[in-house]
Amino acid sequence: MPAMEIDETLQLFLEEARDHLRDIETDLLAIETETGPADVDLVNKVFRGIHSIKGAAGFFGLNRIKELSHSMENLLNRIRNLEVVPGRTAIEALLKSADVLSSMVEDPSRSEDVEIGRLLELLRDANATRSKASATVDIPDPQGRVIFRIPEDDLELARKGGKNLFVMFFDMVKDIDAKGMHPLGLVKELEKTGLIVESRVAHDADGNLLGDAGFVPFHVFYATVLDHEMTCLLTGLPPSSVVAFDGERKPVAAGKLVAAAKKAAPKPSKRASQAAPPPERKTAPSTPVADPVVTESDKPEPEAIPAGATPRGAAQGNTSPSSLRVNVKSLDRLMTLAGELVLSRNQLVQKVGSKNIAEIQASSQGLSLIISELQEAVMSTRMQPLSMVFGKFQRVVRDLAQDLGKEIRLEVEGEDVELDKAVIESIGDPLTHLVRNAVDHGIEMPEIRERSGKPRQAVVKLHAYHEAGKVVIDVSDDGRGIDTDAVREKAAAQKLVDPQHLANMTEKELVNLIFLPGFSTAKVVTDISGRGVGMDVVKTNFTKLGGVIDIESRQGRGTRIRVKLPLTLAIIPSLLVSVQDETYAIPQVNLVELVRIPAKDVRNRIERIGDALVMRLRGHLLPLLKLSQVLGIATPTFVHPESGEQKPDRRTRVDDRRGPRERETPEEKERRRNADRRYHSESAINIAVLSAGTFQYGLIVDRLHESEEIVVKPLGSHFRNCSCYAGATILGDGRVSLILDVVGVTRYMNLSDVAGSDRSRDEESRHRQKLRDAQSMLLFRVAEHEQFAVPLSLVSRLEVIPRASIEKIGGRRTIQYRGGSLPLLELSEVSQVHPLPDQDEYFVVVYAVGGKEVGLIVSRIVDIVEASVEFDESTFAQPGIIGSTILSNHTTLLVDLYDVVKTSLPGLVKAPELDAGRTGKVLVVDDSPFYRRQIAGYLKECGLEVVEAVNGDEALALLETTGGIGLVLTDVEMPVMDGLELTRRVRSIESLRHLPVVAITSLSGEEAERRGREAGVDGYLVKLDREKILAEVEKLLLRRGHR
Amino acid sequence: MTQTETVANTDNLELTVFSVGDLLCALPNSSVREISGLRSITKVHHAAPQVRGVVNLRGQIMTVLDLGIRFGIGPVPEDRKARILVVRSGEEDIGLLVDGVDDVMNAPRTDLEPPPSNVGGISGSYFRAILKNRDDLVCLLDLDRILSDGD
Repeated sequence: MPAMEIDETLQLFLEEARDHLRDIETDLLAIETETGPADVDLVNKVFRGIHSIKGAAGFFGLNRIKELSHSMENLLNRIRNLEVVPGRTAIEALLKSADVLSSMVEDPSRSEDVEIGRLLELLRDANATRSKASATVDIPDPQGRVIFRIPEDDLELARKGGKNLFVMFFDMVKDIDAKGMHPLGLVKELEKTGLIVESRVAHDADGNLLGDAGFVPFHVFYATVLDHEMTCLLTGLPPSSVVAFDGERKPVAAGKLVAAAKKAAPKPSKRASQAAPPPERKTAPSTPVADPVVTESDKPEPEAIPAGATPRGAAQGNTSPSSLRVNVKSLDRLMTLAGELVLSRNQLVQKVGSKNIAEIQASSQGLSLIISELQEAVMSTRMQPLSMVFGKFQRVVRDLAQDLGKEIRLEVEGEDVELDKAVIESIGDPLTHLVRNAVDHGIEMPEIRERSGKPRQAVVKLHAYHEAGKVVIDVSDDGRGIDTDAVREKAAAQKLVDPQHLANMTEKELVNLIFLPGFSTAKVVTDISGRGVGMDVVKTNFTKLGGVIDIESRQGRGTRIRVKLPLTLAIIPSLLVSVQDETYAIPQVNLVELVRIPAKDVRNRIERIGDALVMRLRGHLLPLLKLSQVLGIATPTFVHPESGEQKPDRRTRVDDRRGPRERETPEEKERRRNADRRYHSESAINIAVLSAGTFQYGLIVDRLHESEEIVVKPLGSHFRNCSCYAGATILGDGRVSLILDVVGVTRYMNLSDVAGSDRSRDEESRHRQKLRDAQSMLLFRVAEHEQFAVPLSLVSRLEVIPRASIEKIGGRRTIQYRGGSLPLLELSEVSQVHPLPDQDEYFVVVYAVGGKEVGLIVSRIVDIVEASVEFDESTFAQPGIIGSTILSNHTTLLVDLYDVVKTSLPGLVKAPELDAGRTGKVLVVDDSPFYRRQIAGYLKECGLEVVEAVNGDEALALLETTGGIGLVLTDVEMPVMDGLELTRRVRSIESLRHLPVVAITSLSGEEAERRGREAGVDGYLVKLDREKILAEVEKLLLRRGHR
Repeated sequence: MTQTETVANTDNLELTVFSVGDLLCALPNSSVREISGLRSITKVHHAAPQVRGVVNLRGQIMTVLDLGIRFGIGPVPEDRKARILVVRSGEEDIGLLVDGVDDVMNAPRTDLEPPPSNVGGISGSYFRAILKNRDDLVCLLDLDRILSDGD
């Protein structure tokens, strides 16, 4: 057999061995985790894998591989026969051996030098019941030369089930090659019907006697249920070459071929590739015994790939990534498409000649269809299952858990989800880091778990699935979760974050701090996760791939890290934007939304805090970057919208806009009259809101263009220090456009999540300050020219009623409502306002007083507005009206819903009667005199004594100097010291710790309430809700009184 | 270094002669893979000053260096005469933007002289040798120095 062919054969063997070994690890781990008796099928599978490696290794003269696999096989066999329990030692030994075996298979030429003595010992120890110095049986050939030395145990094993034992003498050239057979094929064939106990190419046969190089003897010691005749048939050997072994030291006398076999003798060689083709062949070409010339047709067919070896991608890890196994079907499809492409091109060329536009268009459409399909087909050849990455984690988790003394089960789901080869290759390391982190930091020791009522065995879960065109990988554990206090401490100790901001951070923000460079919360820096490679690197790695990482953690319950990855990297959908005449691409995966701020709104929406620009977007503040500033695009120009003329832009700040017109100077008015471009629609600001890992920012660009699928190309080495680009692409017109690295830009501009949120918090509180007394107001009319308002928070419902449904009973109007009657009130009954006009339908504002609902009849509902206003209490003061203000450009009267009821239905309104002497005074803290008076009014009505303060600071001073304060009612948003801070201070003063504090605010909502509760307030109420305020005051004061 | 060998082993050097500003420069023909007309150069902000930008060279993104800036004599204007010489640097192609390609000449090796010491300044360090061609002085460039990252 020519050297090249045996090289090919060796290659085949190695690839197969790799396949076997790859599965073996997973299988062994599965065997180990099984409770009770071993899963025979699984053990069998491993056994067969190792066994076939052993068999073929012998054939290639890879003795160390053979020895090692042989030992493994022995142990596996005993496990299979339930003679050895697959415990930790056994599996450990097998895993270690599989590791070494893998590395030997990777580099067969050096495998003979690998020291395997220790491993063999390990395997033998695991095989403890086995007699130590196992006796061996020598199998001699007819000349009495020992060709095999087989341990008795093996012999016993081979005989089991009444198998026959044969020594078979093949001549590699004549019996295998010349018959069109393949050595590996033969080995496989034999394995099907029996067991190759031992096999080898007879290097050590004394072959120089006749100088006959035509023989390459291959000896096989074979155990089979077949009889002698059948074995001969199977192998195609003459009966004389198959010698039955009867357990005696001497096999039955052999025929002449046996004698011939002894003649052949290539020198022993360590190189597998040289093992079979004897160099002597060249020296003695004329030997007549066996013609060494192998004709083309005799070549072994390369189809010896076993049926079970499904096409897979390049093996993971150390195997060469430059080759890829592709499904033949995919190739066929590519071929078909290529054919289609050619046809389509021909058509197009023809039609271009005919100059028929419609036909050309049709052809080009067809062509583009084929190209899309082709693209998809090519991409699909690059897709690899995630099992390539997930596969190794069983081992990682097992080994780590063992080292750390933890009990952990790894659950894997979605291994068959496919990703681009490039993505698969790049996520291994960061994912490993996440898994190791989960095991090392996340999972508690079993004793601790038990103490906290969790099962001893922890679960780490890897779950991959498709979602919205992306692949999501969750790495979750049911461990201790992230200790946000520890994070806070650590961040403070390492001065990673300003301590003040740290105190205000939400749980989620704290958890995200672990992505900061140099962060690790592990109390002990272990060699497993604490090697300085932090989560920041993990995050960066994922982000580089266009991925997004998110972390969710619940203390004591566990942590889940979610990674979202694009399916491929080579072709990505992206948005084209431009600054002046430069076009850039932004990967769609980073794009959250596009915002266009019309020129007139710029001043309201974009604000400047120090040097930073921020934009208000649905209640959140978004840091803004100007692309032209990021890239240092010099001399900005302004293109005149009408003339197209280019002028230098005098604006240096985005927020440089005119103010409201009433504040304009005559000079400004003049300029505006000349069609001030700052108001022109072209002057609107375009913002791409981008996601950079865990936070978002807005990028201001001149123009937003269309979305395109772009092909990512690498940039040259001169740009390795430019962090702002992820690559380049070629646009439709052939020009090159750079792809922005959304994360790189933030790094370059030193924009970080933490900094961003700090800034936004400052701004947020400033903004809230502005809106601090904002309430939703319901505007309505009774008579058309008078507008009224009530706080929406007090309104239960709005109803429309036909006039006919109004009944008049006992001088009181009512309607049938929800099975009862609803008393109807009209404002003009109480206040000096115009009466209700005649209408077919009325609106009823339903609200509750004293636990009973009443309705206020109005003619028209105008609007609901957010208003942050002070009411004038004097101008329109009268019963039923609290005060007046301007809302929606109209003078509006604020209706006192309680007063209306009190006047019309005095029986309904109940104020708690409280004794100020027993309960103590109530401190009302509010910076708004209006609300202060309102609340004080409610309280005084109940007979309470009220002390007032305008902010938290003053309130604290009062609390210290004035005795007998039994309750604090405080506004939340106030200058100098806000209500939450006041509450915190009160709680920290020993003598005041139990003083009830109720927050009264115009900002309601869960989040605000949660923050209030965190600060330590006893109640959280909405301003002007007299009923609830009084009820809460009563409850708290009485509770205190009982104490 | 292949360039040295070319210089040392051949009696005659085949040179591509081109101009950068007022300077006549040359590179061995063997190092010039292609002379390309000017095409749209995309500027890359944040890159080193001598990097003029990137262009599309048959689907590959090629970095273009401005030799005018490299020599400290101001950027090469993008006009009709301007050319891009494509040279190989390691694994990638690099374009050199020059004012125009003038000639291909054969120069005997013996005509090469070391650059006179007074040809100093920024540009001087990029010259390997000086060659007299009729009335002109042609500067044989040191490609490795030109392609290096520093100034």
